[in-house]
Amino acid sequence: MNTTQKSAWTDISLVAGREISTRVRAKSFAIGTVLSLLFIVGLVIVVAAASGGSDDGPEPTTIAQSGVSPEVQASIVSSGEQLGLTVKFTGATADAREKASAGDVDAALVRDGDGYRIYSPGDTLDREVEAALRAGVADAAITGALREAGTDPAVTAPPPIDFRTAVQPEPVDPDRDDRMLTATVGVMLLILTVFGGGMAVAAGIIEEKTSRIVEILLATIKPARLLWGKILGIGVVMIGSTLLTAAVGLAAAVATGLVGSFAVAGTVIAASLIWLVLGFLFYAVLYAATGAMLSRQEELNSTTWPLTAAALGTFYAVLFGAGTPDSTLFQWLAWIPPFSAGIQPLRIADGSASVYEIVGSIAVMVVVTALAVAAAGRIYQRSVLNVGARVGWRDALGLGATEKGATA
Amino acid sequence: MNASEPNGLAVAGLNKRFGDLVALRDVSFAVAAGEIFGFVGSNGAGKSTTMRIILGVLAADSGRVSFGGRDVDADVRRRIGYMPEERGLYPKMKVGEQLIYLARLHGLSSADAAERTAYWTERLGIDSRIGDNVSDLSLGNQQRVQLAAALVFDPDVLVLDEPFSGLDPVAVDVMSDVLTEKAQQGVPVIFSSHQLDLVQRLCDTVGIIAKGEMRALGSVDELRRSGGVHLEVEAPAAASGWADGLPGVTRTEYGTTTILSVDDGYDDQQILQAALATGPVHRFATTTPELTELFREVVTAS
Repeated sequence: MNTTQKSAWTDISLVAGREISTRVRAKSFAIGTVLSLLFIVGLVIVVAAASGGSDDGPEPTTIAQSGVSPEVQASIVSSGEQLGLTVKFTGATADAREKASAGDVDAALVRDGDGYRIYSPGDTLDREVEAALRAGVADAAITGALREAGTDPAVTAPPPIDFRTAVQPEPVDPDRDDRMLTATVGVMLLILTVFGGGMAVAAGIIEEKTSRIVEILLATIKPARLLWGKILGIGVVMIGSTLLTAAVGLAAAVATGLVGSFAVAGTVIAASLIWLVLGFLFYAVLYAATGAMLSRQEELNSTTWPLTAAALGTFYAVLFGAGTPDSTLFQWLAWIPPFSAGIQPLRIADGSASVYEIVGSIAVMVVVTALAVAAAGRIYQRSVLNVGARVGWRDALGLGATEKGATA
Repeated sequence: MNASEPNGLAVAGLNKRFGDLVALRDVSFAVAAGEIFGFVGSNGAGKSTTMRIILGVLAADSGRVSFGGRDVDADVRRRIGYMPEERGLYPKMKVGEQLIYLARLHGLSSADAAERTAYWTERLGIDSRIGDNVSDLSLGNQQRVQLAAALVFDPDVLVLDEPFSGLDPVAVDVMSDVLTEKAQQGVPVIFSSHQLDLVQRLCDTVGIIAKGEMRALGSVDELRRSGGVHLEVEAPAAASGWADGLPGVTRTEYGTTTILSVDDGYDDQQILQAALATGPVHRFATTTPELTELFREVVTAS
């Protein structure tokens, strides 16, 4: 039989294919995916309900009336507007008082001889509503009196007074809320994916080490191909399921009116994708190197705590700091890997990151990830066949006095 | 035994140290196409280290491994069937899928991989377990899967580290048949074992390694002859010391049966006469030592 030349890609795709097929068919994967889809849809529904659905401005104030003239009604609506209320009147109804006491309307205004009576649910009335009613009735009376006297009511209009802000006004960005909400939830998913992916890579490598199949595999293919096949396979599964979760969550958010525009939120997700890939790669190679140095699954958590702490730190920073993406802390973290992977998507969505900062921080992340890839590849090759004892950092990096180790 | 023979495997001058420990010192041997090479030695003598270097999972400090005169590189290694001392398979992967995966890693198309997997699982009597996870199999059956993993891609070379350990007698027979069959197809086969009767029965050549050095190397017959010819003389009336000083006698061991080690200069008739001079002789026979005895001598001599 003649020797078969095989390309690196053939090996890597075979290894990745095994990772994908065994992982996707595992019961835990199906359960995990369904749970995370249910979670994201549930979250969207809860948040949408809490924020009162779509943002069509404040709820209108409904007022039942009896015997109130159209002029007075118009006057009340206009004074309500000045107070920031949208006042709506019902048609004339005899049971206006009953409606108010039942809470069907916010208040009732009933003509009573020369005056008016105001009824409200529980006898408590919002001050602004009361002010709108009183001012509207008074204005209507004055306007009516002036008309009867043959004077133009416009003479009573006060000279305009207007507030001007001392600072340059921010241009209003109608999509900002959509972007920030998408980015915040997206970043949380990103951190969980990157962290979970890293753990999966390390666990997979330790599994191959403890089951000793790594010796057969490495007698067949080069260590780097085994490593990259594993990272690629796990990456496809993890990132794929995250994108599925994001897409379902986004669809739910648009359907419930929590997010106005599919396109705006979709753009944020697309922009975050590069950070997802870089962050995943960074964590995957570092976890791979750590996994290769260990001999038992139990050692994983105690050895990888700095990586875990960085992931959790980013998670909490985003959880509590998402409202102010331009804080000093975030300005710094946006440059420092691996935090930048979680922070930068928020700053991009917020618009507080300059183009220079976006390109620069991606460049920093790429360089640091490349260094991690180089170091981790070296550690992996030197450590993965060392079964039994934990491999020290010096030996793993090949800095020991006696150079020895398997470089196949 | 010629190293440059086509499709023969040759190991030349391997040296390997682990820190202060010398694991291998100038280990050389060659296995021609169709030959079975038995690798014997105490635990820790260097058998597994040599095999791991052949497979490239360990790097030698110096020395050379070649196949058909060509240095063993990644492409050649892909054609070597290997059974490591530490058995290794994915415990939570089905037998059939696992073998197909390994066959494909070795370069088979997916159709060929499936066909070869079906053939070898049937041949090794594990075809009924093809859909089970490896961890659900008995140790003996896991061992059969391990052998199937080494054979499933029809390798050009077989390197098996203690393939017989932990096998029941039926499985030992199956394993023996398979090794002989592969050798007949022209594959050089190397295996290590502590079961010296098996080595003596199966192997064309044997290497005995102790403390990292090859102490004895050659065909089974050569080795047994090199251990010297023994004369067994049953002469009950003979007094101790009767054979001392006879020409060619190098070592004597007196008892109810006298065992004489002799060199090339011995004269069996002269010894027989000396024995008859003491009284009746019931048995007079030449023997060559069993591999087991030779092994003890070589290993304890160091």
